[in-house]
Amino acid sequence: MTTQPAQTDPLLDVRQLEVVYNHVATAVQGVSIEVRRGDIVTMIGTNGSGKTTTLRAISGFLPAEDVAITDGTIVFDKTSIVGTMPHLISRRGIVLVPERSKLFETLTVQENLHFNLTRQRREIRDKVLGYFPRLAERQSQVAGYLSGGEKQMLAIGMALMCEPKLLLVDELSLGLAPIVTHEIMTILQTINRDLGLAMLIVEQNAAAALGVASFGYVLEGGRVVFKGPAATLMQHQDIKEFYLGGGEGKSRSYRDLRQYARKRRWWG
Amino acid sequence: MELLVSIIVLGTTYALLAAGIVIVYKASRVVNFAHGELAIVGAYVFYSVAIMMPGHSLPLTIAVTAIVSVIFGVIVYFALMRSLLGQPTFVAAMVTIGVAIIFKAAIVVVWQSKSVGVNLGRQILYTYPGGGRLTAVDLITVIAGVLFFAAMFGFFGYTRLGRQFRGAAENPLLASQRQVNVNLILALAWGTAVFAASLAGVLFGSRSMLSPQSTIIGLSGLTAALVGGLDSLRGAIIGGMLVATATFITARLIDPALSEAVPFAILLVVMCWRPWGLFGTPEELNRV
Repeated sequence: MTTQPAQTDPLLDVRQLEVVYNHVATAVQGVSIEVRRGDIVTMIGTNGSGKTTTLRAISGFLPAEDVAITDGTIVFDKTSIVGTMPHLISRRGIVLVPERSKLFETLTVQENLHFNLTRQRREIRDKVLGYFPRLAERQSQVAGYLSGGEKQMLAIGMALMCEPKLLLVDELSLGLAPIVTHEIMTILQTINRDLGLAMLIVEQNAAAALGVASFGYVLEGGRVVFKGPAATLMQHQDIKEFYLGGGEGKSRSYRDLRQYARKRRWWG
Repeated sequence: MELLVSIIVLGTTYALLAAGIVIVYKASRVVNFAHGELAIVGAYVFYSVAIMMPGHSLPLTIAVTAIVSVIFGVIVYFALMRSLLGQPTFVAAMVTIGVAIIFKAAIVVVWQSKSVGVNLGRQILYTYPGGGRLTAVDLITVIAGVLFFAAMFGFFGYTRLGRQFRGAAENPLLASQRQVNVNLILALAWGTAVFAASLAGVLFGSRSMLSPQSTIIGLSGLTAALVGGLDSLRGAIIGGMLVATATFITARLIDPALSEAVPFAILLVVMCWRPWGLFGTPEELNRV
């Protein structure tokens, strides 16, 4: 297993995070993740592996939600942000693009985009419209009627309007055609290069995420079971098998697969 | 003509009452049953402030009462409603009933249930051929209503805070993740709502005497809000006008005693035909 190279000051440093829903259901157990400045990092894993919960914990919970961080630390830009309200976390520079209900569906495209508009942010708005020219054509439409891809573009645009230092993107590919996923991933990569904006991307579509990321974590059952540079992960036999689809070309028998299932449990 | 003016004047008062209920409902999905009480307390506060002000200065009284009412609303939110965030909304609605009882008691304790009137100007501007009179209060009521609604539509439609308000109403978590302090938005909603309530109360009190029984106008406001649609400001205007029209026409043509009941008959019809109100969003229904 490859370890992340030693570094002095990661932008985001999550250590031994534990999140519990309703006081009983542990969704994430001892997850540690680092994001360096200017990097794209990805978390991949199946349904219920704790990816979304981890992102939600980083971006903060409302007091009304019955969920709490019971252990571990989250340090962003040298400051601990555990227990901070979401609006304060987003003002510090962590902005989440959630998996669903990622925009205000009753507002128009323009109203969504101008949700955080200030005089100083007009330049950013113009940049966003440059990245997503399709949004400019849809300005006066109600956001709820956009196509899935356009919604995702608007959601990313809205997030950029908050002047993030770290962009969290949850399940970008959900409900999107592969070609649209690819298009938006490429734009994310462009944004990352242009603005030096660090990103933490959560994906079930491992191939798409590892294609743009430099480092990746594999989550399973609320734990990190594997981590390494994206290139290494893509070459890894098990990850190919379980997340990218297809092994070494020849198909395996079910008996072999069962062995792998056992091996996966050992990682935890 | 005279009838029409009376309807518009009363309708404006109801629309203002309904607007306060709508704003709170929109922001927090809580039906505020204390609205009538808040309105009448606002009017009593206006009465007391007017006595205290040097020379009974009217502009000063208006300014002080406006500020006091907004602060009142913010206090109600932070003291009572904030801790109920995330609870089922009927719990919060029950709490507003408690608030209603407290405020009604306050009228008894602080103002000894005194029957008082508020003077905004009783000058007669015009006498109709039939003998009816158009007074300064009537004109002030309509102007205040128009200004209030214009300000609200401008605020919600064209300002950043207004957009954030509507966003927070639709999805508080997302608004929070977009740098918006949802607590402040809700406090603002309560402040604005109590301001609107007080405005309606003062306008009401300038036409008839105030007493603890006056809090019943809250019901008319609620009826207007429900008829127009609990989540629609436009609906509040239409609802207010409808309720006023029904009340007046029944009183004039049939029987004054019946006029009290007619608004509820309209409510019943609207609830059967469009349960979400004339201008409300159908999806809102399953949230009530």
